[in-house]
Order: sequence, then structure tokens, then C-alpha cells
Amino acid sequence: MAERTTPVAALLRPLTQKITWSVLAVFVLVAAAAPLLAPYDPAAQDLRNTLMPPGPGHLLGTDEFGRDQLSRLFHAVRSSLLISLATTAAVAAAGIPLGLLAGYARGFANVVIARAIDVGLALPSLVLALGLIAALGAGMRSTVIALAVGYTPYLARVVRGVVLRVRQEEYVESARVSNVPPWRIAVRHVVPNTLGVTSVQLTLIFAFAVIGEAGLSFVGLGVQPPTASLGNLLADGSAHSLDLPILTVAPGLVIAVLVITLLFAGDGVRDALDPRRRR
Amino acid sequence: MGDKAPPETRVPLTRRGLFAGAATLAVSACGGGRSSAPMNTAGPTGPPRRGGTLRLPLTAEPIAPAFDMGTSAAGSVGTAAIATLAYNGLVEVSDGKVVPQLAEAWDRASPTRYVFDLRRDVVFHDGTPFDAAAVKANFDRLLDPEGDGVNLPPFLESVKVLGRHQVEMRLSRPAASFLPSLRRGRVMMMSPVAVAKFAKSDPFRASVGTGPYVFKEYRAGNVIRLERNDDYWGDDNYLDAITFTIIPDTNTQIMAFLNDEFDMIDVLPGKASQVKRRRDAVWRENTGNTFNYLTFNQTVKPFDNADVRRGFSAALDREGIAAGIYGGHAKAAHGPFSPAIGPAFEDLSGGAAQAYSVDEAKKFLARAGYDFGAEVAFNAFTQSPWAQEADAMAAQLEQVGVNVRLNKEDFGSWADRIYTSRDFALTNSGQTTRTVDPDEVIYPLVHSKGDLNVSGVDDPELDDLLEKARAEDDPGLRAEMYHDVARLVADNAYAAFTVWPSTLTAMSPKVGGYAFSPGGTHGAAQCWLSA
Repeated sequence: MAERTTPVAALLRPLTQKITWSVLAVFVLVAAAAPLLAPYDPAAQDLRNTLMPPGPGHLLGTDEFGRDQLSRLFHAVRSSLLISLATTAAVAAAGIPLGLLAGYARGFANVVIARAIDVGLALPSLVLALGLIAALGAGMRSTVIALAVGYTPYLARVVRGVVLRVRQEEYVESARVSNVPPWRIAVRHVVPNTLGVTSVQLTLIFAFAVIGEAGLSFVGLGVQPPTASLGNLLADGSAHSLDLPILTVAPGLVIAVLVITLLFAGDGVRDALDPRRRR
Repeated sequence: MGDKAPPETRVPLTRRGLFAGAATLAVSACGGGRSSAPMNTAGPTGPPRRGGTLRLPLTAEPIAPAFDMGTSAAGSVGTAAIATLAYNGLVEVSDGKVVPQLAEAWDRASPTRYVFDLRRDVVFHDGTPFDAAAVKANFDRLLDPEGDGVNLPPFLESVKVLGRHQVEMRLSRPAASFLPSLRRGRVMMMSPVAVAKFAKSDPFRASVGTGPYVFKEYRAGNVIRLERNDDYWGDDNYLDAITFTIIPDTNTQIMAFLNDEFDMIDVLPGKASQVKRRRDAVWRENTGNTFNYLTFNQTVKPFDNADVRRGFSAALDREGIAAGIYGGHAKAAHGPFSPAIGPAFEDLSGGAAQAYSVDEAKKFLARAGYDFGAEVAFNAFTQSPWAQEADAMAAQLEQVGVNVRLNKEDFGSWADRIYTSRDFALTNSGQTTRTVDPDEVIYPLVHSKGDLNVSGVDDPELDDLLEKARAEDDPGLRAEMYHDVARLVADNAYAAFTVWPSTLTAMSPKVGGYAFSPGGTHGAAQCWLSA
């Protein structure tokens, strides 16, 4: 075997991954520093200067309330990333234990959780989210809950698959006959084996969450105005798509770039963790 | 565009021909377009030409049962406006005056007794002669306590046939608003034969009037087609046909108009800049008879305190709303009655309670001892432009330190909350009169027993004034009474008036003869198309 490389170095070796992670870093920077970067208060209305085209005072123009579109876009990236991050974290927190339990437990628990995952997968996650938000009421927290519930089965299923394979391995068998308690086997031998596939899956779920938030906010169920999100910027702008297309084009492009970058990042993580490719 | 308003936004509130929401705003949109390009207002010249089909879009399906004016369908301004193309009223209101239609002349024999002489040359589209018996049949249907009729004229008690072409109407009390309440667009004459035959089974076939055009076809969700009535008693029905194509999405409507697939389109002020992309479009802008307002639930704290209401009212930047939300196609309102409402209008911009001033707002609130820490729920509905107006008002209230939580719901839930359960503190809406009579719009809203008085206004002085004004015959005295009413309502901030939106119509340069008649005859009724 050749010399070992650190996972990060392996990840960043291809040029596309260097670009991908730089772009992601910019997004994270914008999200973190949105209040400092935004030239205006994103909620400040100026009704006498509505729907201004891009110009020196407002680089991306103003929306229908005269709010600065660039400032709103910065804050939208912030709220969208925040929601996607929280969703991903919630999916990880729920999906990994569920998957472990489903794969490792035997008998009744296995059947119940496995079937529950199947049911979750059978429901379209966005439709499920719509239903949940109808019950919970619109808002940032409901958006996170609704998206997390929808995406958790995807992660749980993948984790369960890995566990089912790993539990057949000889070192697990030997641990078991040596009377190592099941929880310890799970933590020591099973969990580390799921990390690769889990991190790839979570990157994809992050990307789906960006789209999910945008979709929910677009129909008015996600982030509530005047808080900006990528989805509600798109919705607000769509009424003016004929006379001021920048209002839709800008958030639309940001969503596209963000999601594509996240998908590339997912590919990169997968490749970096694949022993056959890691050289 | 034909539809004067999305009908579904009307129904719950139209029991008396009133509704929440501006009458003539048909499309959903928001924001204010920068309107730099001048608007062309010159249509075709020369004498009217006969022939051609006028094509209009329609935002929403008419209220069921379609065009039966003896039912709640007549309560929808949009449905009623289309119906004026096929029906006539006994009278119409033009420039604030009552003018003859199917009634040639009338006489007020006593304060509570009117005698109408009817035209003798009129037949319904199905050949039924129009006569005193037909008039009585129409009014009896409205007066039937078991019936579904709306828009009943105030205090009308009975209708009696005096001769083949003469009817008498008796009121329980004198009412100056009685005659205008009979206008076309509000109470319209249907063939009693067709009603008896089809009203229950096929309401569209029962929609038989005396008007310039005849209802020919109604394909639900698709198109409504009217064709010329060749036996019309008038001679200003120039078109072969008028079609209304139902297109709920206003952006699609605009694209079709830009593409010359429609000849006429009603434009929400915020969408004007998009429609201006059609360079040859001819525009008509009229100050409507609608007022928009923010209102308070005055039965609960803190809005039982007039100074709190005044403070909220003074916080509203009316010019800003007119400029931003309506793209300049609205006027800042300082009271309920717009200039379109005639002599009842008076400039009230001098009163501190209805004029924008952050300082005054803060002073009012300080005087009231207002608790700035308390959260105030603001319930709005999701329809443009009221939803956008609510966003603007919420931001303006925050400017004076009020902690507002804006909660938007679909129109149905909102109407239930406001009009049925009355579970609200703060809400915004709009009101339109159909008769251009101030009584119709203000009485139900602020009289302690008014149908639409959801705010809980209970002011004996105001009640007294409204009742006297309703019965006053002298136009000059009556106008003064309504000045007093408006001042009382404005000063006490029983509502915070925001804007009087304009009605905007854009049409192809071929269209002549368009006439704006708020709440009355459809603008297309006398239209013609040049070659």
C-alpha cells in the first residue's frame, strides 16, 4: 500500500473539489457574516423606491417593498443554510441510531423499524412536509422538523444496510462470542464502518434540504416574511419576472449553484472515502 | 378585463352588496412598478363601427349559481358586472345622478311611496314582454324571506302593479339611498318565465335579461360567451360577441394581452409596469370608490382607547403605500369617502388622527400609556394587494415601536375569523360601494348595529347621525351630514384609512366606447372595435 494520506488531503486533491469547497466556504462566510456584509437592513422598507433596477445604490436592485435585494440575498443564504444545517443535524441524530437499531437488533424491533423506514420512504418527503407544516404551523422550526422527518428514513435505510453487512464480519462475530456487550460492539465496530456512507448521504441530504426549504418557502409555508430565505425571495420576485427578472434570477442562481456545489461535495466525500480510489 | 373582482373574495361579505376588498382590482400582484413611460389614453376616432368580438380575461369563475340575480350571485361585484351586459336595471347611476333605464320616469308620491313608469318597447331575450308584472316578480323574489336574494333596496316593503307599465313601491321608512340602490349592477330584471323554468335546474339558462347582449355559452373553467341581442331596445350594442376567458393566473393574462390575444384587461396597479410593455395599449385610470383601511377590535384592550387607535393610524405612511404598493396608482386616504363618492367627499388630511407622522403617532401612544412590550396580532389575508399592504403597515407600526406579529391566512379562514368568530385585534381590508351612495358603505361598517361592524364601534352620536343622514332628502344637507360622519369616524380612528386605489384598464388601440362606471354597468357594454 502507498503512503497514507489524510482524508482532507485526499478529498481536496482533484481540482473540482478545490473549487467546490472554496465555493462552499464562500457560502458559509456569507451566511456567517450576513449582518456585516449586507449594506442595508434586509427588512427596512423604502416604499418610495420600490422595484428599482440594479444600480450603484442597490447592486441587485430593490424588491416590491423597496428593500435592498443584495442584503436580502445575503440573509436568505444565512437562513437557508441554517435551516439545511439544522435539518441535516436532526436527520443524523435520528437516522443513525434508527438505522443501527434496525440493522443490529433482531426480532420484533428489527421488523417494526425496518417497516417504518419503508413507509417513510414510500411517502414523498415534500408532501409529508406539507402535511406536517399544516399541523405545526409555518415557521423556521416547523420547516426543520418537517424536512427532517421526511429525510430521516433515507439515512436510516442506508445505515441499516451497512450494519446488516458489517454484522456478518468475522471480527464482529468474534467480539460477540467473546461476550462483548452489544452496545460496545455497535460503538467500537459497527459505527466506524457506517461513517463513510453516512457522511456522503448527509451531504446529499443537506442539498435536498436547501431545495426543500426553497420549495416550502416558495409556497409560503417555510420561512415567514419579512425574514428572507432563498425560497421566499424567489416567490416574491416571481410576481415581477417580466419587468424585473433580476429579483428571480439572483436567488434562483444562488439555489442552483449551492445545490450543485453540495452535490459535487457529496461526490468528493464519496471518492475520498472509497479505498479503491484513495491513493 | 371584465371581472371587476375575484368573486370568491366577495361572497362571505356581500350580503348587502358590500364586500371586503376593492371592487375593481381583479388580478393578484404586488409591489409598485416604476411607471416612467407615459400612458397613452387616446382610443380610435370616428363613429362607432358594428361587428367584431371583444375578448377579455376573467380571473375567477363567477359565483354560483352563475348569473341568477335573484340569488347571492348578485352579491359578487365581479359576477354582477358581467351580468350588466345581459341585464338592465330600472335605473342607472351616471356621474352621481340617477338616470332612467327600464324605468322611463318616476315620481315620489310621498316620502315612502314611489311610482315608476316603465318603457313599453322592451322584451326579454326569450320573448317574454317586459312589464309591471315582470318587475313585481323580480322584486317579490328578492323580498321572499325564504329566498336567497341579496342587494335588497333599503326599507322596501312591497311592490304593486298599477298598470301594464306602471309599478308602485312602498318603503317602511324614507330612504334617500333607495333610488340609487335600484341601479343596474345591483338590482337587475330577469325574465320571470325563464326563472320559473330553469332557476332550480339550470341557472345559466335562467339568465335571461333585456340587456344589449345575450348569454350564449358558459363552459365552466373555460369561457363565457355573450352575443348581440338583435332586439335590444337601445342601439349601443355594437359588438357581435363578447368572450370572457377564465385564466386564474394574472401573469398568463398579461402575457396574452401583450400578445394581442385579449382586447381589454383590468390591471392591478402593481402590475402596470408589466402591461406597459405593450406599447400601443390605451389606458384608463379612474379613482375608484374603494377605500382600504386598517381596523381595530375596539371591544378589547388596548384598542378601546381612542389614542391607541390614533397612534396606530398616524404611524401609517399613506403616501408610501400609494407609491410603493400601488405603484402610484392610488391616492392617500384620510377618511372613508373618496372623491369618486361625490359630495360626501371632504379633504380630511388636516386631522392628526389620519395623517402620517411618526412624532404624532408616538405622542398619541405615550398619551394612551401604550405598552410597547405587548405583542399585537395583526391578521391579514394572503390576497394581493392587501397582503402587501399588511406587510407595509406592519413594518411602519414597528417604526413607532409597536411590536406587531403579522399572521396571514387564506381569504376563507380570514373571513371566518373576522366576520364570524371576530377573534382578532388588528386587520386590514377594503370596502367599496355599489351605489356610489355613502350610506351603503359606511352604515354597515360603523353603525353599532351595522352588518359589517366587526370592529365593535359603538358611538351613539354616530348612530344618530347615520340614521338621520340615511333619511335626509336634501342633497346639500345630506352631504354635510356625511362630512360630519366622516370626521367623527376619522377623528376617533374607528378605522385608519390608508388609500383609495385607482382602477386601471388597458385596452387595444382598436377598442372604442369604454365607459367606467364603478359598481355599475360593465365598461365593455358600449364598446366597439375599429377596423
